[in-house]
Order: sequence, then C-alpha cells, then structure tokens
Amino acid sequence: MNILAAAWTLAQKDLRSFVRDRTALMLSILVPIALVSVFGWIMAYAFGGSGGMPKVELHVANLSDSPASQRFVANLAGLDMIRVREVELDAESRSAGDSPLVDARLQRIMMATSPHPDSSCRLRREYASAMRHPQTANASRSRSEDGGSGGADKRYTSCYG
Amino acid sequence: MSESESLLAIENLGYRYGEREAVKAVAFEVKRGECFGLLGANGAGKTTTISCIAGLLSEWTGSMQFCGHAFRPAQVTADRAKLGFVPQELAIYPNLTAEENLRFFAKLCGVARADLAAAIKRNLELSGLTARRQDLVRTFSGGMQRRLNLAVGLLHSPALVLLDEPTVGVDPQSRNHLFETLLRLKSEGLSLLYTTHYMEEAERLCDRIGIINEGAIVAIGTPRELAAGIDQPDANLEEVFLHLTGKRLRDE
Repeated sequence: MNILAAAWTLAQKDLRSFVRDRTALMLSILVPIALVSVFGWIMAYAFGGSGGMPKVELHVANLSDSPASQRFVANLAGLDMIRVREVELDAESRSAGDSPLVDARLQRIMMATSPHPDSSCRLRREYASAMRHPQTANASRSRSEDGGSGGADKRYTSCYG
Repeated sequence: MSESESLLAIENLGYRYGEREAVKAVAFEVKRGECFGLLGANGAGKTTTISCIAGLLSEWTGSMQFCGHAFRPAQVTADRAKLGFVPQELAIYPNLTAEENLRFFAKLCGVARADLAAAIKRNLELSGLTARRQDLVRTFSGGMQRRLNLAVGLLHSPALVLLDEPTVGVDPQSRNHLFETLLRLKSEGLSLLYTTHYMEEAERLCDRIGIINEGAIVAIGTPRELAAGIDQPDANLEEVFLHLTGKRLRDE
C-alpha cells in the first residue's frame, strides 16, 4: 500500500469516526460559534456597538489660512479611520476657557501653522513645553495670564496632565 | 528439532526502560503450528518481550530470526506483515462498525482489493459477529470487542500471531469462544505466541510454556516437563509457577 492510499484510508476512517462522535462535533463546531458570538458581542460593546474598529478622533487646529493647510485638513477629513474635529486655539478662546486645550477633552491635536507668525510659534512652543513639563508650563502660563499671581489653574493642569 | 520446524527464534533479547532492565537475555523459539505460551506475573516482562517482537519497541539487544532469516520488525515493514498482533489494550475504533474496522485494518495490512470481502466475511464468522457487522463497536460488549480485536489480528493471514493477554476482562462464554477459535486456527497450522498470567489458559492452549520472572526466562517446556523439572511430576502448572517464581507479591 503506497503512502497516498494509506493516507486516504486513514482520512476516511477519521472522518467517519469524527462525524459519529457527537461530543467532538459539538466541541469543534458549536463551541467556536459560541465563542465568536460571545467575544464579538463583548468587543462591539467595548467599542461602542458599531462593529469594526472605532475611528480615531483627531483635533485639528488650523492656524494658517494657506490653501495647502486647507487641503491638508480636507484630506485628513476624507480618511476612513480618522474623525477630524477642527478646533480654535486663538488667544481669545483660550482666555475664555472654552478651548479643548483647557477643558480636558483634548487627546490628540495637530496644529497646522503659518511659517512665521508670532502667535502660532508662541502657541506651538507653549504646547510643546507643556507636554514636556506640565507643571512648569502651568505655572508659567498662570503667571503670564493672571498677571504673575502664580495661582494654579486646575483645568489647564488636568488638560496637560 | 530441525531448523525447518523453527518459525521464530529469539536469542539473548534484552530491553531497558532507562535504568530498569525489563527484559534480560530472553531466549526461546516458536515452532510451526505450535502455541508457545509466555507465562509470568504482572510486570514480569511479557508485554515488553512481545512488543519487541511486534516491532513496537526498536532499541532492543540480541537477535531474532524468522524462518532462519534475520528479523527486524521495527525497521522492516515486510517483516511486520508476517505477524498478526492482538494487543492487550483494545485496538479497534468504537465509532466504526465491526465491518468498517475490519475493512480499515485489512487495507492497512495490504490485503488485496479482490480478497478484501472474503477476508472480512471469514473473520466476522470466526469472531461470531456476522449478525452485528453493521453495528458500531461502541455498542458491543467487552467480550465482543475482544473477539473483534482478535479478528483484526488475523485479517491478513499471518504466519505467526502474537496474543498479549487477549482474555483480560472477558466473560467465560467469550473466553471459551476465543479458546476454541485459537485451537481451531492452531489445528489449521497457525503458530501462536500467547502471553498470560492465567495458569488454566496456558494449560489448555499452549504446547510449550516459557515461565518468565523479572525479565528472565526461568524455565521452558511442556507442562509435564516443567513439573518434572522441579522434581514434582504430579504438580500442576500453578505449583510449578509458584515454585519457580516464588510467592512474593509483585507491585509493578
């Protein structure tokens, strides 16, 4: 008996034996279906019930009016995996306290800036510094915006923290 | 005894499980048409000896000859085909029918397609399972499964059948059927190597008996010769056995 004929004989025997073994059938067909259902339900619940992967929310502060930055933001908005949320980071909104930078809602931010405007550069430095040294940045910001009083701004801290 | 009468000759067979020497310099021969019995307590080395002969164990020392030629069943498939093997544990598939089991093993043993149906029919009749041939083996009694286990070992008409305690857990009727079947096969010229620790089985079935104790053969001969060997001509086989192997309990 050659090896292929022996393999076919063994396969026939195993298939017959398997089909007649109800326990083996249950374990190999119903249990995987049950596991997939249970874990699928758990995952859907964990990710908001939409099924599939959730979109990454990206806050975009477009500090430039250039056509390139507009196109860039528009292209970002066209990506399937990203939900773009444009935010304002001008001085007025920050001082008013309703910016995403100061209310702890912000998780990721992309800043599109003009090459040299002073305000954009200052904001970018401030943000970068805050990410490296939250407490220092907080104190520095508090001093500059509260007239050097040094009072702690809890919302600002929690944002960077 | 002439050389032509010897079917299987074992010389100086040894086998170790790690540090433990399970079989020590075992030597015996099985003649054509003879039933040779290996009689020993549990753990005496019967199954190890028969496993070496069947090709299930390969690292043994010593030599084996079959019909006067070197015999290496673990390495040579053609050598294994000369043997039928009925293991101590049931080696049949519970979720196949009796007929499917026989067909499967017949194919693996190389029974020609043209002879397949006849071989299956003959062995179903031999084992008394013709009426139950389409039933799943898991629905069989222990005795029926034992009979089918024996039939599988005989499918390819081997020259020598190795039977390793084939009556374990069998009721008296099935045991009697097994004995009658084996005696009939022996009368037709089949050679048997039979291991057991039941004295009455050895006395009823075996022409010659080798008593094995702690891996070594301590005596070989007909029951009458064995009794004469201990200077108690009227002793039965159990008395001979206990005289040769002692009364100490065996724990392995």
